[in-house]
Order: sequence, then C-alpha cells, then structure tokens
Amino acid sequence: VNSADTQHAVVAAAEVAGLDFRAVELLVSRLRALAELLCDLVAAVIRAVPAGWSGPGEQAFDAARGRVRAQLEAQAGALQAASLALSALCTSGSSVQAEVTVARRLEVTGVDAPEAISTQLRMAITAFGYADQRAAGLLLDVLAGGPLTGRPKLGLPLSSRAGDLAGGVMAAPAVPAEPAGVALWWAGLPAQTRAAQPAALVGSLDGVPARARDAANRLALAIALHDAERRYADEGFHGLTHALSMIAGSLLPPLLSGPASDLIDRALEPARRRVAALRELADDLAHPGAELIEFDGRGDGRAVVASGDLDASRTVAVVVPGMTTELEDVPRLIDQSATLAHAAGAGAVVVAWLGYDAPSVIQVVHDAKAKTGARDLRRFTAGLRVTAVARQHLTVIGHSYGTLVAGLAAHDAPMADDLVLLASPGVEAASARELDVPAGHVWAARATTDPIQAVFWPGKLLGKLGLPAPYVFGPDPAASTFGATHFAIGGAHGHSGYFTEGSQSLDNLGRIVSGRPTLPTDQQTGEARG
Amino acid sequence: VLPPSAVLAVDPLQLFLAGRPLVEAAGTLRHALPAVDAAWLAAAQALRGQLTGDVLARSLPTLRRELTACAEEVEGFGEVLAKAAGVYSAAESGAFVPAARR
Repeated sequence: VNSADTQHAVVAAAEVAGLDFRAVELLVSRLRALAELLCDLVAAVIRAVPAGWSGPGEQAFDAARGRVRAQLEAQAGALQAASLALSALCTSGSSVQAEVTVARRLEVTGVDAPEAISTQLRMAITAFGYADQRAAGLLLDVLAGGPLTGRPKLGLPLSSRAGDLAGGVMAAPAVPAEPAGVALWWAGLPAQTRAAQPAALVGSLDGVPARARDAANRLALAIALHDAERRYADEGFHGLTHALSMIAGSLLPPLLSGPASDLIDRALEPARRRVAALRELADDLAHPGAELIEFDGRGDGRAVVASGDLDASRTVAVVVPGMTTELEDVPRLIDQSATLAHAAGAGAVVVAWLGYDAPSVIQVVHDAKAKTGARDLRRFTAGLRVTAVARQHLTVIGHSYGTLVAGLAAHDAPMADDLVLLASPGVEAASARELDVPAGHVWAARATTDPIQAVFWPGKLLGKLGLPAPYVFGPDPAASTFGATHFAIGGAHGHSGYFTEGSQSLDNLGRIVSGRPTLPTDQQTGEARG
Repeated sequence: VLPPSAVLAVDPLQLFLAGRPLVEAAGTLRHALPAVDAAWLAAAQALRGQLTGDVLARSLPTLRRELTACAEEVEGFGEVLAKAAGVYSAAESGAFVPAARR
C-alpha cells in the first residue's frame, strides 16, 4: 500500500469513525416493521373474497386484487432487502470503528499514524465501501424504479424475491482460496456470522487474524486433550493394565513381572505421550502472549505456535522443523522459539511451524511431504503479510528436511526477507540465486559434527571423478559454490545444536531474525565453523 | 354498474365487512409513515458524506409517495367493496335498478 492509499485510508477511517449508526439501526427496525405491515395488507387482500360472490364483478375484483397483491408483495420485499442492506452497512461500519479504536491505541503507544492504519482496518474500510455502494445501489433500484411506478421487475413471490435481493447482502460468501481473499472475506463478515463459523475452519484459515485463529485453536486443543485423556483412561486399557499387573505382580515369578510391565508400558506409551504432549502444550499456551495459530490433533498432528502477538510484531521468524517431528515435539519447539525470540531481541516473535506432515525416516528420501509442506508454508507466510498490523521483517528458518520445505516454498515467489538453511540436505536448487529471496539473504550453516553432510559424500566423490553427482535434493547449500551467506555457528554440535543457548549459532540466528549484522565465518572454505 | 348476475350471488353485508379490514390495514400503514419518515431523515443525516446517505436524502419523497400509493390503493379496494355492497343492497331492496335492467 503506497502512501496515497494510506492517506486515503486514514481519511476514510476518520470519516467512518465519526458516523453514528444508531440512527441507521433505527431505520432498519422501522423498515422491517413497515414490511410486516405490508405483509398484513397482503393477508387482508387475500382474505377479501366474500363467500358466494361470483360473476363478472367478482372476476374483475379478483384480477385487480391480484395486481395489488403483487405490488404489495414486491414493495414489502424491497423494504426487507433495503433493511438488510442497511443492516449490513451498520455491521461493516461498526467493524471499521472497532479497528479505528485499535489503531488509535497503537498510535497512543507510539506507532506512527499512517502505520497504525492496519491491514485489518484497510480491509474493513474496503468492506464498508462495498456495503455502502451495495446499500445505495439497492435503495436506488427499489425506490427509483419501484413497484408502484410501473416497472415490471417485481413480479416474484415475496419470499424468493426478498431472498434474491438479500442474498448478495447478508449471506456469507464462500471462503476464498487465497489468504488475501480470506482476510477480506473475514473483515466483511458480521460479528454474529464470524462467531457462527466452525472453529476448525477459522483456526486453519491463513488470512484470518491470529487472535481469532488462536481462540478457535485453543478450543480444538481442549477437545483433543479431552479425547486423548479419555482414550488413555479407556476402560479397556485400565482392564488390561489391571489384569496384567495382577498376573505380573502376584501369580507369575518375579522374573516375568519386568517384561510384562514393559509390555503394558509399550502398549500404553503412544496414548500416554500424546496426553502428556497436549497437556504440556496447553500449559505452554497458558503463559500470556503465546498464540496457537494452527492445531490439528489427528494422526501425527500439526501445530503452529507463535511466541507472542504475531500480527502486532514487526520482527517474525518462522522455524520449520525436520523429519519425524510430530505433535509430541511441539513443546520442545516452543522452548526453542522462546530461546530464539530472546536472542532476536524485544518484540520479536518466533513461530514453531509444524504446519506440515513431517516425513518418517523411510519417507525422508522423497520430496512429496516437502512439496505439500512448501505449499502450506507459502500460504501461511502470505497470510502473515495480510494480517500483520505493520510491515514485518520475516525470516524463515528451516532445519534439516525443513530446509527443503522452506527452500521449495521460496522457489517461485517471494516468501520471506531472509531464508536460513540449517543442516540442509538440499533445497532442489542449484544455487541461492534460484530462490526468490533478496541477494545475500539466503543463509546456510552446518556444523562440522553434523551427520547430515553424509548426504553429499557420494556426490562429492563422483564429482571429483568427473561423474554426474547423484544428489538427492540438489547440491549442498552450505557449500561455497551454492552462493548462500555463511555465519559463525560456534557452540553448535551435531544435527540439532543450532539453537543451543550461549552459542554463536543462536546469537547469529537472532541477529539475522532482527536484521542485525552477523558474526563472520570462514569464507575460504565455505564451511561454517562449528 | 354491476351486472345483474351479481345481484343475487352475494350477501351485501359480507361484501361490506370484507372491505373493512382493508381500510383498517391501510390506515395503520398511513399512521406508520411519519415515524419511518423521521427515521429515514435521521439515517440520511447520520450517513452524510456516504453514498447511502446521499441516496437516503434524495429518496425520501419517493418512499413516501410509494407507500402512500400503497395505502391508497388498498383503501380504494375497501371502498370499492363497500360501494358494491351498497349497490347490491339497494338492488335487493328495489330502491335501485341497475342500468342494464332499465
């Protein structure tokens, strides 16, 4: 949005903020009452057939009665449609006023006035503009060419005509496919229609404001935890546990009690782990600030958790984990997010993005899960762009297989200001230039002790022999020939040590996220110092 | 002028009674119009500067005219029935002979 648009939005917001919609609401109620009166007239006309009256007089009366009835029905339908259009205008105007209140609060807290015109406010103003045009057009249509002025367009029965006219005004339109469309759709929904949307839908829609998604997903989490606890405490499990404990503890020799207990524990382990993870997730979310941006408790599960107020932050990092990550790992990812957010500085929000179905060890040699994940990651970041209050500096950090997800997401369209590839097995790109990220802002690092480098050994060996390199997901992003920017990762060890507290790696990740200069690395070898 | 065939086919009192609810309903509509006018005008002022506000301001006379026409039409129907009842009643009493029979 350029400054002219922003100035226009400021002016429009101020205008709408000054309108008093109570008078319009009163007119809405008056028009509805009037429409009911006209319906009463229709009923009176229908009943006005004296018994036994027949002949040409009755026929003439009946024909005239039919004409008047149609006119009255059309007039009542027009009034109903006008009242609906005006009601929609009130709702839309109230949304603008609510957003203005938020923007003014931001202004008080030091945010620049033009910046305070948030994306939601712009969309609310746009939606109000549409509602204004629609209401004005409808009023002109039903009044200027009204039923009693001779235009024969109002011959439909009352119910269907009112429905047709009102349909475009009040009925919630289908959910758009793209986040920007979703944001506009959401902004234009009346409050009661928003509340009526299924939580599972709202919670998963990129483009819906984070707070609304958070509320919906917390509900989904509570339900999932309840279901998991019930499953764990299932009578069958209890019965099995009790019976086997009795056998193991009393009847069988002590030597067998150990293996029997292990068997029971193993049977119960998945359910126990799920309950524990969900409880921990719920506990983590009890801390103020954290937002549950996506949640799905089915199967391996998905969860996207922001460490703070996602839409309000100007510094956001999205961390995409690697293979075998599942719902049980999310509490650990949340801790990792908090560590990184602290390293990035005040105001930074880090998102643990398990928004894709991470592959198992067997699936990891294929890119199918990464391609699906990349599509979803692209949607997620596009959603951030439209729900953020102000321009955000967005960094996407992939780890291991997560770098393939992030790399693929950055192939065709700009996704982030910075892209960090940690311990990458390749991103299906020959060089950093193939990624749609500003030059110098594709970062790569791999510890010397990270076993992931074995992925590239066959290719390097054959390459030295002058043979085609059989890379699984393309060449090594940490190699100097790839063209990514390197940074020091001292203190990071193995495959999962990049977020270790006190390490150069964490410090530099925080610098990248916050846009500060990183500490240098050994540019001669292209290898980061680990 | 009512055709002779109608004279014996209907009870004039029923015709008269059938017209009364129409007149009453139309009267209720007429009484409601000033309140709608006031609300319409207030909404037009409240939405001043917006498209809808402009349309509301310009279309108040149209609305009044349309709805008044509605009421008049229905009232007219009631009056037609009442007049018909009077004509039939007079015909039955012999005080009035339809033109066709003269």
